Amino acid sequence: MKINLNKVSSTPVLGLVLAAFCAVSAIAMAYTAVKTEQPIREKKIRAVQDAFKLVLPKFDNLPSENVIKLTSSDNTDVTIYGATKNEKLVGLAITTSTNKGYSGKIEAIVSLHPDGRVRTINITKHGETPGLGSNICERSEAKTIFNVFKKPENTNKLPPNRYLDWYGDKMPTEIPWSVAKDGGEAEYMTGATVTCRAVADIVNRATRTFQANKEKVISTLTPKIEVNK
Amino acid sequence: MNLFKDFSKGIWKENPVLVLLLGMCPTLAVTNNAVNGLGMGVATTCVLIGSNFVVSMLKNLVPSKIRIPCYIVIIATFVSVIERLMQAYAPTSLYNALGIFIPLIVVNCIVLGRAEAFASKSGIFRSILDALGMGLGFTLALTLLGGTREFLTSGSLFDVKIITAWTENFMLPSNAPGAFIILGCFLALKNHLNFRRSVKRGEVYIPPQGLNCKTCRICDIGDE
Repeated sequence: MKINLNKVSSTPVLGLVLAAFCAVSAIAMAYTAVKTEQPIREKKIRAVQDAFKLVLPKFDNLPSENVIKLTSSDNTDVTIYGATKNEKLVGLAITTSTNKGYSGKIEAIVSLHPDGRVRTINITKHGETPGLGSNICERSEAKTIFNVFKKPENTNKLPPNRYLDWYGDKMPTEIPWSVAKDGGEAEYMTGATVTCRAVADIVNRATRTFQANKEKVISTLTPKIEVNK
Repeated sequence: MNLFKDFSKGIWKENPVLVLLLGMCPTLAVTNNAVNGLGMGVATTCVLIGSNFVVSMLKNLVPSKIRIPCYIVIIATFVSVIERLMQAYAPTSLYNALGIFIPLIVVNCIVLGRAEAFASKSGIFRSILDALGMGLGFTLALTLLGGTREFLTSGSLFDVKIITAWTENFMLPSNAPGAFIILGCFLALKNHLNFRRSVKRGEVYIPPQGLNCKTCRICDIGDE
């Protein structure tokens, strides 16, 4: 017997058929979602670990274990990781996010010197328009026809990006950073103002949350020297 | 021969971008460099094969009155599943390069168009061949368009600078207006080649309706 539903025209049956299609589709999607949840989470953790190596100075601890979780003034999660070397705090990596991007959340690592100066910024996740907003968020080495087969010399160094490097080695000021269009000084690109604003927002949130909780952060993340009781 | 035609028609005779003018949104939006064009093409081809396969397999179970919603459900499921799988198992660099385009495929009317026009009326094997051909034609057109735009913008191809002295970017081709201009040049070139071929064979060349000045009502150039 061959089932042929092409000619069906009664509304309840049509509804049932469509419901059946949606149910099968939902099962397929739920199955994939469950099966891929673990690998995706592991991949994200690995990406964060690799990102630490890029933004922090040389360290000898596990920054992902040396951590303090805070909330910024506008209720966004701000996580601060401390990198230490020889029991001394050498750098801080702050992961936070913004919803002010052009399409979806932008997640970033902002690394600070222990005195609060910005060291460098790396965007870990974004969905900005390729060719426009992505130019702000992505750091990539320019390849030419002469060096296309040459191996990159230093894989532990971030390629430059003038929009992100603008914040490098700057001390946070009283007034939050903003792009030139809004009266600030930060580097911005015509056509990608929204993304530039989002980046400024991320850096502001990271630095401001750190400044507001500076003593607590430093004392939590600095290694405790064992004191004899 | 017939099977080969199912495959090859997508590449030249019924090329989805250059002849059918389908899927203009991803065509114009993401092709600002060759890598993006190639990525979008490959991702779309994967979804196209999957959706053509399922649609032709289930063609007797889909009531014709609600076929469009059913096809959309099938396509959207494929897109979501492929995106999750890529996120989990594909190399991070590949996912980062293609990941942003994948959700866009749902709105690509080539996929829906092939489901409606071909897969719902043909067997499974022929539908897959059709999907392969259409996908390849789409990929080629997008890569060519992306490569041209990238080269005219910065003198590079596939992110590799060919002309090293080219430092200042020329922004027109990489923006939307440039996409329209270059795609228009491509369409004109393709029409011209077809026209030359017909003249050589002694036939009368009839351009596709969308590209024929005599059937278009936007301006009065073709009215005589």
